[in-house]
Amino acid sequence: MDEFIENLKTELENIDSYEEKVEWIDTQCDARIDKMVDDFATNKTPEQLEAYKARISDYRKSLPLSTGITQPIIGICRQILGFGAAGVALTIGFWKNISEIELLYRMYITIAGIYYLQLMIIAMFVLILYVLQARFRYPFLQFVKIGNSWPFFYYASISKKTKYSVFQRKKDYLSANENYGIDLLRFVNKATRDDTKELIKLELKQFFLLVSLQGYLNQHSLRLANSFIYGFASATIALLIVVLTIIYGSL
Amino acid sequence: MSNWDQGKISKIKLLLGIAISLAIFVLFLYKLFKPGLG
Repeated sequence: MDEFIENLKTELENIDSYEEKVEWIDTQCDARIDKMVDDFATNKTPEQLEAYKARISDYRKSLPLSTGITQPIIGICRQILGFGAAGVALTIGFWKNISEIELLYRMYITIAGIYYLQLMIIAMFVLILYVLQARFRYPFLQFVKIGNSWPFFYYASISKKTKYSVFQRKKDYLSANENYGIDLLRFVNKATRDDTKELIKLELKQFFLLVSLQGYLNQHSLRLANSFIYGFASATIALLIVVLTIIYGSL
Repeated sequence: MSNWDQGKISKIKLLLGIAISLAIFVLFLYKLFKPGLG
């Protein structure tokens, strides 16, 4: 196994273009998976294979695919931005009365304002990061054979020629209809084969894909949380330093 | 890098953040309360 991986790596270095490299990984790994599952399936009764498939399927279904951290952080950021907008409106409303406040208190209000401004910048940054994560391209999307398996995701079952634009002419509709029919035929053709070995391969591929996806989802959500913590903690500590300087120093 | 380190908060980034935040504070305060404008 290690030898195979080493070979794959060295041969990958000799290929130039990105597309060819991806295709190479795709075909090599798929062939190897075929071989491994075939080896595994020999000397096993159909019942045993069926039970194995069911077990893998259960594992796959019970994978947790969300962290629960992301949504609260996004909610907090939205709230900070919302309150900030209200604060700006209030500030404009009371702009003329500001000079009536004593200088020291005006300074404290200013510091609070700057602190909140920093929180708003952080909230904006976290929201932008969130949107960037939403459009992230996972590495398994580029693979045809070892990526998404056809029963589980549309990438592998729907023709790439399908147009998703909402403005379509009759010609586009017709090509969509044609693609739909052909894709359905291919799908049913594959689905009616009912080859347990083939299904085990699909289950295993999809299982690993979900494990990988889980890794990305968790790390992305951790990054979101960390960005928020860096910004929030930094701004708060800086606020404390400034306030302490004013109280005990000669600013 | 061990698995444990994957989500760790780095001290350098935190210190950098504090430095930037302090800079923003000082810059704004200086602009707003420049002597003679009070």
